[in-house]
Amino acid sequence: MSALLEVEGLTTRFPGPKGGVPIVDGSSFTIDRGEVLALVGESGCGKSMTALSLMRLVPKPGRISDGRVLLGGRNLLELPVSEMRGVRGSRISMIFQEPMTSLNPVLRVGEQVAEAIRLHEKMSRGEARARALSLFMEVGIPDPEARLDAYPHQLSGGLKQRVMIAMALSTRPELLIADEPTTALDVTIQGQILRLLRNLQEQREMSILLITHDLGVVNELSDRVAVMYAGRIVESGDRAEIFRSPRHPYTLGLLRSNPALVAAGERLPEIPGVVPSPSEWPAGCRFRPRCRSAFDRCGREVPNATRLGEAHIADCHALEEGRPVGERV
Amino acid sequence: MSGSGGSPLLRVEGLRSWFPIRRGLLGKTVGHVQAVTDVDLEIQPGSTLALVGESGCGKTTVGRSILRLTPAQAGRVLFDGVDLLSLSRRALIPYRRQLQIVFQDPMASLDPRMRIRDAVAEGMRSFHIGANEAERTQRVAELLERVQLNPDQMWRYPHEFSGGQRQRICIARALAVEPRLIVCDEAVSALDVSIQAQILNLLGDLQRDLGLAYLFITHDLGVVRYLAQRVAVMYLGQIVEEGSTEQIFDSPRHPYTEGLLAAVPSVDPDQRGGMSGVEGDVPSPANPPSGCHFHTRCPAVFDRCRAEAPPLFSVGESRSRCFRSLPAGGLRVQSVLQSDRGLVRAANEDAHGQVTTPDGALLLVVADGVGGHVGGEVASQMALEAILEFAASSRAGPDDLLREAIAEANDRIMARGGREPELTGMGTTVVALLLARDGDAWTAHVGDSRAYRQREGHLEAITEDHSLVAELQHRGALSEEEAWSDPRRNQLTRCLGIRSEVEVDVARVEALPGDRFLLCSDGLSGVVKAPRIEALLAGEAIAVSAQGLVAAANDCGGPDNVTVALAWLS
Repeated sequence: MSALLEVEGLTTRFPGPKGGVPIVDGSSFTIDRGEVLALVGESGCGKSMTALSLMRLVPKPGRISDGRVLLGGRNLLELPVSEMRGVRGSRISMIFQEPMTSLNPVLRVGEQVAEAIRLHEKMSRGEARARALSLFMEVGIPDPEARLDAYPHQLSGGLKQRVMIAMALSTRPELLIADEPTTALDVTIQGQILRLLRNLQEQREMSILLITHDLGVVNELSDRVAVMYAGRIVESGDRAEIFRSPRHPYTLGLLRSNPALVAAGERLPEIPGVVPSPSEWPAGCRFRPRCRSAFDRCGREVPNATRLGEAHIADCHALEEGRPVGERV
Repeated sequence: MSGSGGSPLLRVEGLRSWFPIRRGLLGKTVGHVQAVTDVDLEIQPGSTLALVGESGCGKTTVGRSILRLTPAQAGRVLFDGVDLLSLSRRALIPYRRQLQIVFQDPMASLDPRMRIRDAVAEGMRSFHIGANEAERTQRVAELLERVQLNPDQMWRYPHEFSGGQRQRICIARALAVEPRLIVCDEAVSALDVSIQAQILNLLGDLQRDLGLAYLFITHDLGVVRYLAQRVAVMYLGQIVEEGSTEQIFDSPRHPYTEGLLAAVPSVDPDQRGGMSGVEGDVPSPANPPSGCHFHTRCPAVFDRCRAEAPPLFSVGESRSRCFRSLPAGGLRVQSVLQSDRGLVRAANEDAHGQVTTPDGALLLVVADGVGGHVGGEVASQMALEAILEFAASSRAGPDDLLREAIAEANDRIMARGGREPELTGMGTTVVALLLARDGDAWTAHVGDSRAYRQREGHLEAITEDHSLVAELQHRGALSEEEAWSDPRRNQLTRCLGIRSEVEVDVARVEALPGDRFLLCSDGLSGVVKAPRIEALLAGEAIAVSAQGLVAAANDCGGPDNVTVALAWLS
């Protein structure tokens, strides 16, 4: 497989002391064509900011200060604004957690999808409507013809998310960024949307950057996983390998604190403390204050990538030095 | 109900909370949002009941109705035996102290302008806990420590805390008035998994140390398995299944519970499963579907589900609102089979047996061998074994299952009769009754062994004999009286073991509670007249009826082997 998206040293800062606070700090990852990469971590880890940076939609006063975002070999960060607008929505599309806030409440959903199509392609209203109808069918909206004329409030959460997906797909994007696409949905609807995304990805040979805090969703949908903590990617590898043999203490902690894996009555292995706010990120390894495997070096030096397998990497001093990691204390 | 014994701390009976939909200038009520309909629950002291369901299922309304934050139209909420819904506002006050609630969003449930110390102490002041403010401050410090917060932070405002810390504050506030039951309404749903683990551990510690009971309202089944002893699953305002946590997770009885469990994304790398589950959307609670509310999304739906609303069936310690959760559609089945050689015959050539199919249907079989006593005995036994074996491993529908099982029996008898000369010509009748899980009953028969159904004291033959006499009678050539004493009454027009293809009569018959089914060989039906059978079937105990029927055949001379199989529905 060839790389569709290569991100190198992406850094996004917000104003603050010492040249600003890097909300995304030197992130590097690649997404192959037809691959689903999951970016996983707790709230406030910089996942969504990474996605917005790829789209060059970082809210002010934040700015991308460093790095490269290569889409098919071209650096998106160097494109003129007008050209970037062409990339957005046509080569890269995005869907969000809360479909209600992404849809215009006073416009019929069919018109909104048709409008998105006509923004990127010259065609008549009738043609755009016909295209919207076929998209509605593709994303499994029941009674699609009637639903074209529905207003957002007349649709359930699951249907609204399907409309958002139809809109995102309308320009045949190569990369779909799905930011917590099922978090606001009930579990049965979540299953339906995950299955839909998987089918669409396979049929259209599209790449997906899946952003989520839910490891279950990661396991269901992704091919590869990148775990993010405090602005940095701390572990990445193939899905099965990450779930079978997680190595970074943070990944271990996330997986072990899942109540579904612990017998009733036993104590849940918790990660102590909380993700610190960006202005309070500690020196050295940012996970150190919450890490049970930390030692003196962790407070001084930023850990480097340690290769653990063919495509399995983790940034951890303890792993680098072959110290025990993730022993239950 | 919740089988764990002892008297419950909280018992909810028939709780109903409907919200009127008003239209027009005069606010005329045009319908109701049926948020909660006839909910029964029980929580033992110091234990956790999880109330699970998707958005709009009414789980939050149940919690709020228990606390009287939302009015209920009907039902009782018994706390220590006192009906909270019947109390005046003043009389309710002491109970408010014993029942507390923790919500999903701690930011929304804490006053942003109130310091943590005051938020936690507010309830204490209302209930006159602590002699003065200094004492209350001391107690707030203890409570904050109890929920693992630094007591020095009590003079801060809510926005200075993280989400997990704010939830700890809400828990401390609930604990401040020393409750015995806390309703946790999605209390950990908004938290990251690592923080969720911290709060769950805290709730577990508090339960153990203080003997708290929880009503844990959530959509997240992962949390439920960890925390709850019992689980109630809600769908469109009703409880659809209730049972121990183990039973719900390991052997769910309701298709909705099965679908919910299947939809939960798995973290097992070798097993991706969360993409299956339930199709479609939740219908509106203002206009729930007819019959079973879940029928529009149910993978196991059949006709009865659309027409008739299933009650909450009790199965052992658990309850399920599905016709399929019991054999014969929620009807209880008692069955007894009995056989006797009679007074004349040297051997018993009848055979009888019953089996439960993989789909949970109950199958009863009676076979009556013919063709000399060696062959007859072998044929009926072979037929029985073949049918039971087939049914024990077949998932075919009732019609196919019965036809194929009997065809298999015929094949085996034909084959053996061909191989062993002394058995050539052996054959057998067969009659079978299948009580399917969807509530239907099916009969299949070849020959003159019969099936009867007795309903409201009235006996009715539901099979027609494959015999010469029966056919003559059918054509009007013989009267019932003539047929009864006709010398040709043993001549069969159909039987297993004669031809390679056997024609089987399969029919679906209605089964209702109170119905009594009888299968028998002609040792009964050819000897004892219908009114006597009817009278014997009307008794109180099924075993007595079975014995009575066999004895009645022998009273009439016992000329033939007699076999009866009874299935009584209630």
